[in-house]
Amino acid sequence: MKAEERVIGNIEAMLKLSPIACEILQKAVMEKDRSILEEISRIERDGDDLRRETARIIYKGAFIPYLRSNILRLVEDVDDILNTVDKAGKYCRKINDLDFIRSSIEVGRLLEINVLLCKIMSKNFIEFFKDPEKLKEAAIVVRMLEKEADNMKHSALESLRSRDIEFWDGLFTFNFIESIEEISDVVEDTMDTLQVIVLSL
Amino acid sequence: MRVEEVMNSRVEFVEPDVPVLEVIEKIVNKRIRVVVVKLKDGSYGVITIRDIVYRCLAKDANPENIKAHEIASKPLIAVEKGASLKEVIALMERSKVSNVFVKEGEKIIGYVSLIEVIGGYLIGRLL
Repeated sequence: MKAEERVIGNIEAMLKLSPIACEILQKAVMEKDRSILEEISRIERDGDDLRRETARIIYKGAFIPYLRSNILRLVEDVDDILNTVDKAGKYCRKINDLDFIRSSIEVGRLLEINVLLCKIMSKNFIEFFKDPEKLKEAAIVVRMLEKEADNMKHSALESLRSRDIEFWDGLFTFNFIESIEEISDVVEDTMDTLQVIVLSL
Repeated sequence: MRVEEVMNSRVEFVEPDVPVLEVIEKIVNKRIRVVVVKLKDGSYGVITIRDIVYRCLAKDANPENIKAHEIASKPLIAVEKGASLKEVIALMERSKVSNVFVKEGEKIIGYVSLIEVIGGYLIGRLL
Protein backbone atom coordinates (compact mmCIF):
# COMPACT_ATOMS: atom_id res chain seq x y z
CA MET A 1 0.00 0.00 0.00
CA LYS A 2 1.27 3.48 -0.85
CA ALA A 3 2.33 5.76 2.03
CA GLU A 4 -0.41 8.28 1.13
CA GLU A 5 -3.07 5.57 1.27
CA ARG A 6 -1.80 4.48 4.68
CA VAL A 7 -2.06 8.06 5.97
CA ILE A 8 -5.63 8.48 4.67
CA GLY A 9 -6.54 5.04 6.04
CA ASN A 10 -5.17 5.97 9.48
CA ILE A 11 -7.05 9.27 9.56
CA GLU A 12 -10.24 7.43 8.62
CA ALA A 13 -9.57 4.91 11.38
CA MET A 14 -9.13 7.78 13.87
CA LEU A 15 -12.36 9.37 12.67
CA LYS A 16 -14.21 6.08 13.06
CA LEU A 17 -13.22 6.05 16.73
CA SER A 18 -14.86 9.43 17.35
CA PRO A 19 -18.59 8.49 17.14
CA ILE A 20 -17.88 5.43 19.30
CA ALA A 21 -16.31 7.65 21.97
CA CYS A 22 -19.18 10.17 21.75
CA GLU A 23 -21.79 7.42 22.05
CA ILE A 24 -20.08 6.04 25.15
CA LEU A 25 -20.10 9.51 26.71
CA GLN A 26 -23.78 9.90 25.86
CA LYS A 27 -24.59 6.48 27.34
CA ALA A 28 -22.56 7.15 30.49
CA VAL A 29 -24.52 10.34 31.16
CA MET A 30 -27.98 9.12 30.20
CA GLU A 31 -27.70 5.76 31.94
CA LYS A 32 -25.66 7.11 34.87
CA ASP A 33 -23.02 4.46 34.18
CA ARG A 34 -19.64 6.08 34.65
CA SER A 35 -17.82 2.76 34.67
CA ILE A 36 -17.82 2.79 30.86
CA LEU A 37 -15.97 6.12 30.68
CA GLU A 38 -12.63 4.31 31.02
CA GLU A 39 -13.29 2.99 27.51
CA ILE A 40 -13.10 6.56 26.14
CA SER A 41 -9.57 6.93 27.57
CA ARG A 42 -8.62 3.65 25.88
CA ILE A 43 -10.02 4.94 22.58
CA GLU A 44 -8.11 8.20 23.05
CA ARG A 45 -4.86 6.22 23.53
CA ASP A 46 -5.61 4.23 20.35
CA GLY A 47 -6.05 7.58 18.60
CA ASP A 48 -2.66 8.74 19.94
CA ASP A 49 -0.99 5.61 18.55
CA LEU A 50 -2.55 6.22 15.15
CA ARG A 51 -1.51 9.91 15.26
CA ARG A 52 2.11 9.00 16.05
CA GLU A 53 2.23 6.35 13.33
CA THR A 54 0.65 8.69 10.78
CA ALA A 55 3.08 11.50 11.64
CA ARG A 56 5.97 9.05 11.14
CA ILE A 57 4.71 8.08 7.67
CA ILE A 58 4.34 11.75 6.74
CA TYR A 59 7.87 12.60 7.97
CA LYS A 60 9.21 9.69 5.93
CA GLY A 61 7.90 11.44 2.83
CA ALA A 62 4.22 10.74 2.23
CA PHE A 63 2.57 13.48 0.15
CA ILE A 64 4.33 16.29 -1.64
CA PRO A 65 6.04 18.78 0.73
CA TYR A 66 3.54 21.63 0.36
CA LEU A 67 0.64 19.36 1.44
CA ARG A 68 2.41 17.78 4.42
CA SER A 69 1.79 20.53 6.98
CA ASN A 70 -1.96 20.58 6.28
CA ILE A 71 -2.21 16.78 6.35
CA LEU A 72 -0.41 16.76 9.68
CA ARG A 73 -2.73 19.46 10.94
CA LEU A 74 -5.71 17.33 9.92
CA VAL A 75 -4.30 14.39 11.87
CA GLU A 76 -3.88 16.63 14.92
CA ASP A 77 -7.39 18.07 14.56
CA VAL A 78 -8.90 14.58 14.47
CA ASP A 79 -6.79 13.59 17.46
CA ASP A 80 -8.09 16.70 19.21
CA ILE A 81 -11.68 15.46 18.78
CA LEU A 82 -10.77 12.30 20.72
CA ASN A 83 -8.83 14.30 23.34
CA THR A 84 -11.80 16.59 23.90
CA VAL A 85 -14.26 13.70 24.31
CA ASP A 86 -11.81 12.19 26.82
CA LYS A 87 -11.55 15.52 28.66
CA ALA A 88 -15.37 15.70 28.88
CA GLY A 89 -15.41 12.12 30.20
CA LYS A 90 -12.92 13.06 32.91
CA TYR A 91 -15.03 16.00 34.06
CA CYS A 92 -18.09 13.74 34.03
CA ARG A 93 -16.33 11.35 36.42
CA LYS A 94 -15.76 14.20 38.89
CA ILE A 95 -19.40 15.32 39.09
CA ASN A 96 -21.10 13.88 42.18
CA ASP A 97 -24.65 14.75 41.25
CA LEU A 98 -25.42 13.90 37.62
CA ASP A 99 -29.09 14.92 37.92
CA PHE A 100 -28.63 18.36 36.37
CA ILE A 101 -26.86 17.17 33.23
CA ARG A 102 -29.14 14.14 32.90
CA SER A 103 -32.30 16.23 33.04
CA SER A 104 -31.05 19.09 30.87
CA ILE A 105 -32.60 19.01 27.37
CA GLU A 106 -29.68 21.14 26.18
CA VAL A 107 -26.99 18.75 27.45
CA GLY A 108 -28.90 15.82 25.90
CA ARG A 109 -29.01 17.61 22.56
CA LEU A 110 -25.31 18.58 22.78
CA LEU A 111 -24.37 14.93 23.28
CA GLU A 112 -26.61 13.98 20.35
CA ILE A 113 -25.09 16.67 18.11
CA ASN A 114 -21.58 15.38 18.84
CA VAL A 115 -22.53 11.83 17.83
CA LEU A 116 -24.15 13.15 14.66
CA LEU A 117 -21.16 15.33 13.71
CA CYS A 118 -18.67 12.51 14.24
CA LYS A 119 -20.83 10.09 12.24
CA ILE A 120 -21.04 12.55 9.34
CA MET A 121 -17.25 13.00 9.35
CA SER A 122 -16.34 9.33 9.67
CA LYS A 123 -18.92 7.99 7.25
CA ASN A 124 -18.11 10.40 4.42
CA PHE A 125 -14.38 11.02 4.91
CA ILE A 126 -13.13 9.06 1.89
CA GLU A 127 -16.04 10.30 -0.21
CA PHE A 128 -15.07 13.93 0.57
CA PHE A 129 -11.86 13.53 -1.44
CA LYS A 130 -13.75 12.24 -4.48
CA ASP A 131 -16.78 14.51 -4.31
CA PRO A 132 -16.12 18.15 -3.30
CA GLU A 133 -19.87 18.90 -3.55
CA LYS A 134 -20.53 16.41 -0.75
CA LEU A 135 -17.80 18.08 1.28
CA LYS A 136 -19.50 21.44 0.76
CA GLU A 137 -22.86 20.02 1.93
CA ALA A 138 -21.22 18.48 4.99
CA ALA A 139 -19.45 21.76 5.79
CA ILE A 140 -22.84 23.54 5.83
CA VAL A 141 -24.31 20.89 8.15
CA VAL A 142 -21.28 21.04 10.46
CA ARG A 143 -21.56 24.82 10.67
CA MET A 144 -25.32 24.64 11.37
CA LEU A 145 -24.89 22.02 14.08
CA GLU A 146 -21.96 23.88 15.64
CA LYS A 147 -24.08 27.01 15.90
CA GLU A 148 -26.88 24.99 17.48
CA ALA A 149 -24.38 23.46 19.93
CA ASP A 150 -23.22 26.94 20.87
CA ASN A 151 -26.80 28.02 21.59
CA MET A 152 -27.39 24.85 23.63
CA LYS A 153 -24.30 25.50 25.73
CA HIS A 154 -25.33 29.08 26.35
CA SER A 155 -28.80 28.01 27.49
CA ALA A 156 -27.50 25.10 29.60
CA LEU A 157 -25.07 27.42 31.42
CA GLU A 158 -27.89 29.90 32.05
CA SER A 159 -29.91 27.14 33.74
CA LEU A 160 -26.86 26.00 35.71
CA ARG A 161 -26.30 29.51 37.02
CA SER A 162 -29.80 29.66 38.51
CA ARG A 163 -29.38 26.35 40.33
CA ASP A 164 -28.36 25.93 43.94
CA ILE A 165 -25.38 23.64 43.59
CA GLU A 166 -22.26 22.71 45.59
CA PHE A 167 -19.18 24.69 44.40
CA TRP A 168 -17.03 21.82 43.06
CA ASP A 169 -19.99 20.08 41.45
CA GLY A 170 -20.92 23.38 39.80
CA LEU A 171 -17.37 23.86 38.53
CA PHE A 172 -17.08 20.36 37.10
CA THR A 173 -20.54 20.56 35.57
CA PHE A 174 -19.58 23.90 33.98
CA ASN A 175 -16.35 22.40 32.62
CA PHE A 176 -18.23 19.34 31.36
CA ILE A 177 -20.72 21.48 29.42
CA GLU A 178 -17.89 23.63 28.03
CA SER A 179 -16.02 20.55 26.81
CA ILE A 180 -18.97 18.82 25.17
CA GLU A 181 -19.58 22.04 23.24
CA GLU A 182 -15.87 22.22 22.39
CA ILE A 183 -16.18 18.85 20.60
CA SER A 184 -18.37 20.51 17.94
CA ASP A 185 -15.83 23.36 17.64
CA VAL A 186 -13.02 20.90 17.01
CA VAL A 187 -15.09 19.02 14.42
CA GLU A 188 -15.66 22.35 12.67
CA ASP A 189 -11.88 23.04 12.72
CA THR A 190 -11.31 19.56 11.27
CA MET A 191 -13.78 20.29 8.50
CA ASP A 192 -12.04 23.61 7.72
CA THR A 193 -8.65 21.88 7.46
CA LEU A 194 -10.13 19.16 5.29
CA GLN A 195 -11.61 21.75 2.93
CA VAL A 196 -8.21 23.44 2.57
CA ILE A 197 -6.60 20.08 1.73
CA VAL A 198 -9.25 19.07 -0.81
CA LEU A 199 -8.93 22.51 -2.39
CA SER A 200 -5.15 22.10 -2.70
CA LEU A 201 -5.35 18.65 -4.29
CA MET B 1 -36.41 11.08 8.16
CA ARG B 2 -38.85 11.43 11.07
CA VAL B 3 -39.65 14.81 12.54
CA GLU B 4 -38.51 13.87 16.05
CA GLU B 5 -35.00 13.29 14.70
CA VAL B 6 -34.59 16.88 13.56
CA MET B 7 -36.87 18.84 15.89
CA ASN B 8 -35.67 21.47 18.31
CA SER B 9 -36.76 20.25 21.73
CA ARG B 10 -36.21 23.53 23.55
CA VAL B 11 -39.80 24.74 23.68
CA GLU B 12 -40.34 27.78 25.88
CA PHE B 13 -43.79 28.56 27.27
CA VAL B 14 -45.17 31.87 28.54
CA GLU B 15 -48.41 32.82 30.28
CA PRO B 16 -50.94 34.81 28.18
CA ASP B 17 -50.74 37.97 30.25
CA VAL B 18 -46.98 38.49 30.31
CA PRO B 19 -45.82 41.65 28.52
CA VAL B 20 -44.24 41.26 25.09
CA LEU B 21 -41.05 42.77 26.55
CA GLU B 22 -40.73 39.67 28.72
CA VAL B 23 -41.15 37.49 25.62
CA ILE B 24 -38.37 39.47 23.90
CA GLU B 25 -36.15 38.95 26.96
CA LYS B 26 -36.79 35.19 26.84
CA ILE B 27 -36.05 35.01 23.12
CA VAL B 28 -32.76 36.90 23.56
CA ASN B 29 -31.60 35.09 26.72
CA LYS B 30 -32.47 31.61 25.47
CA ARG B 31 -31.32 32.27 21.88
CA ILE B 32 -34.59 30.98 20.44
CA ARG B 33 -36.91 32.27 17.73
CA VAL B 34 -40.31 31.09 18.87
CA VAL B 35 -42.30 30.99 22.12
CA VAL B 36 -45.53 29.13 22.92
CA VAL B 37 -48.29 31.01 24.75
CA LYS B 38 -50.53 28.98 27.09
CA LEU B 39 -53.94 30.50 26.48
CA LYS B 40 -56.68 30.68 29.11
CA ASP B 41 -59.02 28.32 27.22
CA GLY B 42 -56.39 25.57 27.38
CA SER B 43 -55.23 25.97 23.78
CA TYR B 44 -51.88 27.32 22.63
CA GLY B 45 -50.71 30.29 20.58
CA VAL B 46 -47.33 31.01 19.04
CA ILE B 47 -45.15 34.11 19.05
CA THR B 48 -42.30 34.36 16.58
CA ILE B 49 -39.84 37.22 16.23
CA ARG B 50 -41.82 38.19 13.12
CA ASP B 51 -44.99 38.62 15.23
CA ILE B 52 -43.13 40.85 17.66
CA VAL B 53 -41.85 43.09 14.89
CA TYR B 54 -45.02 43.29 12.75
CA ARG B 55 -47.76 43.11 15.39
CA CYS B 56 -46.13 45.21 18.07
CA LEU B 57 -43.07 47.26 17.11
CA ALA B 58 -44.28 48.21 13.61
CA LYS B 59 -47.45 49.66 15.17
CA ASP B 60 -45.42 51.81 17.54
CA ALA B 61 -46.88 49.90 20.47
CA ASN B 62 -44.90 49.74 23.70
CA PRO B 63 -43.89 46.06 24.25
CA GLU B 64 -44.26 46.66 27.97
CA ASN B 65 -47.98 47.37 27.60
CA ILE B 66 -48.91 44.69 25.07
CA LYS B 67 -49.74 41.19 26.41
CA ALA B 68 -48.39 38.01 24.84
CA HIS B 69 -51.86 36.68 23.88
CA GLU B 70 -52.60 39.87 21.92
CA ILE B 71 -49.91 39.17 19.33
CA ALA B 72 -49.90 35.35 19.40
CA SER B 73 -50.85 33.43 16.25
CA LYS B 74 -53.56 30.80 16.65
CA PRO B 75 -54.07 27.92 16.30
CA LEU B 76 -50.75 26.21 16.89
CA ILE B 77 -49.96 23.91 13.97
CA ALA B 78 -48.65 20.55 15.17
CA VAL B 79 -47.87 17.01 14.04
CA GLU B 80 -47.28 13.77 15.93
CA LYS B 81 -43.62 12.93 16.61
CA GLY B 82 -43.66 10.02 14.15
CA ALA B 83 -44.54 12.25 11.17
CA SER B 84 -42.08 12.42 8.32
CA LEU B 85 -40.14 15.50 7.30
CA LYS B 86 -42.01 15.42 3.98
CA GLU B 87 -45.37 15.68 5.77
CA VAL B 88 -44.07 18.65 7.76
CA ILE B 89 -42.90 20.46 4.63
CA ALA B 90 -46.34 19.89 3.04
CA LEU B 91 -48.07 21.17 6.17
CA MET B 92 -45.86 24.28 6.27
CA GLU B 93 -46.68 25.02 2.66
CA ARG B 94 -50.40 24.38 3.10
CA SER B 95 -50.76 26.36 6.32
CA LYS B 96 -48.28 29.07 5.27
CA VAL B 97 -46.33 28.80 8.53
CA SER B 98 -42.61 28.47 9.14
CA ASN B 99 -42.86 26.65 12.49
CA VAL B 100 -44.60 23.34 13.05
CA PHE B 101 -44.81 21.92 16.56
CA VAL B 102 -44.29 18.29 17.49
CA LYS B 103 -46.69 16.54 19.86
CA GLU B 104 -46.53 13.35 21.87
CA GLY B 105 -50.19 12.81 22.68
CA GLU B 106 -51.31 16.21 23.93
CA LYS B 107 -47.85 17.29 25.10
CA ILE B 108 -45.75 19.62 22.94
CA ILE B 109 -42.24 18.18 22.85
CA GLY B 110 -40.51 20.27 20.20
CA TYR B 111 -40.80 22.29 17.05
CA VAL B 112 -39.42 22.32 13.55
CA SER B 113 -38.69 25.56 11.75
CA LEU B 114 -37.47 26.04 8.19
CA ILE B 115 -33.83 25.83 9.25
CA GLU B 116 -34.40 22.44 10.95
CA VAL B 117 -36.04 21.24 7.72
CA ILE B 118 -32.96 22.25 5.72
CA GLY B 119 -30.63 20.69 8.33
CA GLY B 120 -32.67 17.47 8.41
CA TYR B 121 -32.65 17.24 4.63
CA LEU B 122 -28.85 17.66 4.41
CA ILE B 123 -28.15 15.31 7.32
CA GLY B 124 -30.38 12.71 5.66
CA ARG B 125 -28.19 12.88 2.54
CA LEU B 126 -24.98 12.44 4.54
CA LEU B 127 -25.96 9.58 6.85
